[in-house]
Amino acid sequence: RLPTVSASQALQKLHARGSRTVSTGVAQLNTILSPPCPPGHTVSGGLMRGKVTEIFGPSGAGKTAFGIQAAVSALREGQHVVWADAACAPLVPQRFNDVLFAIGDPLPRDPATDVPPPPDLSPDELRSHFHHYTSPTLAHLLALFVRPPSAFPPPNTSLIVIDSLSTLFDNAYPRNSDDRTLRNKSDQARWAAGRKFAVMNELISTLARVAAMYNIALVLTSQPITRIRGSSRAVLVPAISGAEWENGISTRLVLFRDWVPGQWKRNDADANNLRKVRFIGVVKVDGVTLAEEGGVGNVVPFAIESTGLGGMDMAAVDVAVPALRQPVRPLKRPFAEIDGDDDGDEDENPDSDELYGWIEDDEVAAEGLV
Amino acid sequence: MKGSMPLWAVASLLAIWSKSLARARSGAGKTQLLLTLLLASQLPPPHGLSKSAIYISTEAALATNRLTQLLSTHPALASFAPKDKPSLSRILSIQTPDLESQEHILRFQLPVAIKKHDVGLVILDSVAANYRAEFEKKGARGGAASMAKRGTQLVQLGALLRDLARTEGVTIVVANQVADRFTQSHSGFSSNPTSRTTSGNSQRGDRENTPHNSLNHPTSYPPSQLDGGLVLSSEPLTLDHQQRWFTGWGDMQSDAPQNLKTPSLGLVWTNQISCRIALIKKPVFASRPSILNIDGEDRWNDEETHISKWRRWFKVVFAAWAPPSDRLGIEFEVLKTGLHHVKTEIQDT
Repeated sequence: RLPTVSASQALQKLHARGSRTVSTGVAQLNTILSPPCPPGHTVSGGLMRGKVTEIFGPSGAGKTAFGIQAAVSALREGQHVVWADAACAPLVPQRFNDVLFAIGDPLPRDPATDVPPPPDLSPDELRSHFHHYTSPTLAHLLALFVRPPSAFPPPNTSLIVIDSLSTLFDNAYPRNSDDRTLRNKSDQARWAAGRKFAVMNELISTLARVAAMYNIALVLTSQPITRIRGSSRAVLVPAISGAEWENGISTRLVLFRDWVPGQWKRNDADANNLRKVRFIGVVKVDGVTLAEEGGVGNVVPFAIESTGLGGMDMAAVDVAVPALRQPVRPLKRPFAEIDGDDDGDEDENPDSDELYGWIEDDEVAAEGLV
Repeated sequence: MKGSMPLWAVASLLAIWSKSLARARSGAGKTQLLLTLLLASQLPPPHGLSKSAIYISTEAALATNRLTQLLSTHPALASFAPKDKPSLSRILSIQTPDLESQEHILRFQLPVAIKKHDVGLVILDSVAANYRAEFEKKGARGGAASMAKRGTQLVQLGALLRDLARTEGVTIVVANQVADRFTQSHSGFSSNPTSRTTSGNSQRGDRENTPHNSLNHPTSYPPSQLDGGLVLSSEPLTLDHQQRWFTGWGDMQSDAPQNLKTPSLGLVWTNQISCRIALIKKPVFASRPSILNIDGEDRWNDEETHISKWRRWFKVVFAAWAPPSDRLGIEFEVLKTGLHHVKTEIQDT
């Protein structure tokens, strides 16, 4: 018989393990990513430990900077961090140290949380908690996670960052090998080439398992590829996709750039700051999809400084109720119309009631709440 | 006050184990920059790597005359003692006229040469040329298949260069060309962001806006509206929009669409590199009076405006080790003595 544990004991144990999240450095984003918690407690928000988060965006948007900030947040809490350089330039020590040793804690601690205060660590101790790996090919990455060396991941690790994972896949499994190369390959080589999805699935389930088992926030970054939507409009989507992959990704963020009104004012310190603005779109959080491919979901502005990431104080924001975007429901045609397509008019536009009907219902219901 | 081009800034930009892409229109100073790097890399740190350099050309042969001229007249280079001075003998050059020889040289000959000659810098000028020539040969038929195959080859080239940089500890600089940019005009999305005033309650605001947006483009997504205040472009994640930032052209709202350039080889190649430097060139038109007085009568001046000079900028678009340049970047000019930084009091676009 398994020993029973009282609910309060279980809760104590949960909090004794430390924070359930790793701060992103951007307060507004942390709040949106906050895990659910029992009433009477607050949990400091951020990247959820035990789950896999995918960050995608074009070069220069800030994916590595995002990873660095999360790593520094974890290190400052006294936890260990694993960083794997995949298909990118090796992490530049100077850049990392600038953030790690920046003076001042950008995020004030929320006194209501049950998390103990962070330990005071020397620079050497901080550095010793940062474990850097290089995995230049997919095989290296698989070896590291599927057949890990002993003591991997190191104890007290709260964050693993894999920077530029998607390119490793493209290297190992080229997207469009032409027939000629395939014909010349041996049977075994052709079998290997067909294994792409099997390997992808094994990798994501392994990553998800490692995250869950060791209570680690696992962050992987992806490059974008283009996909044609609508009438030949190309949007950026994550390079890796698939049903199993999607199941393994709990949270997905898109990093992108955009114009900000007023950023081209001259000789204005604010305008200078505005030009540094980047955006994070929360397109999936804790298993719930907020936006379709090409959409940006719930958007948070942020800025990248040499000292790390910070939120942008663009307007007073009520963070108590994050405005989640309603997922777009697929259109449903009335039952009677499904049969008898021989009228030939397959593209009839649904009338606005059909298109927006359910949203209007919600509006009516929500009026009482607002 | 003019000073010598910050070679030192350039050399420090090129960290070891990296792969950078220098892109430019013809005449923007790309060759001058590459030649300068071939010499600067021989200097001791922090200016260089104290190593030899290799120049792999897909088109013209190395311009040794210009190298000699730079060596003798560039103020920063000429100031070194003869024994410390860079020399042409430490620059190796090879030409790769087609993809097959390029593949062979990069994969087999280059690693050997790097070890044998203690090379720190490898320049490939240019990456696009051989791919273009190759797929032009094939002609219109099989066009789509050629493009797809090219994508695969670019990914493999990227991996090859990355591995080389990492295992041999060299800096790799790849030159690329640009072409005029054509954006999709029917996307209903112009260079001006959709102007929408903030509504008080953001939830209701989104729904009110959705039907309006569907008039312009039935399948577009509702505009993204941040809580309480900021309005983004209606579809920020389109390739057309995001490439304004990762190409180096188009990130300023004032840019006229017809002047925008796009680097060759697209997003696939962009994903392979860890640093992109854009060399931007803009014409300066001669100022002329708009009204002339001819034979006592005022007439419109019908003379064509002509370009009095070109202005050039060096812009870090993105880099794994440095922040992106502000606005257009560093202005420079090409003189007999090399590239020189132009400092201006007011940065004009």
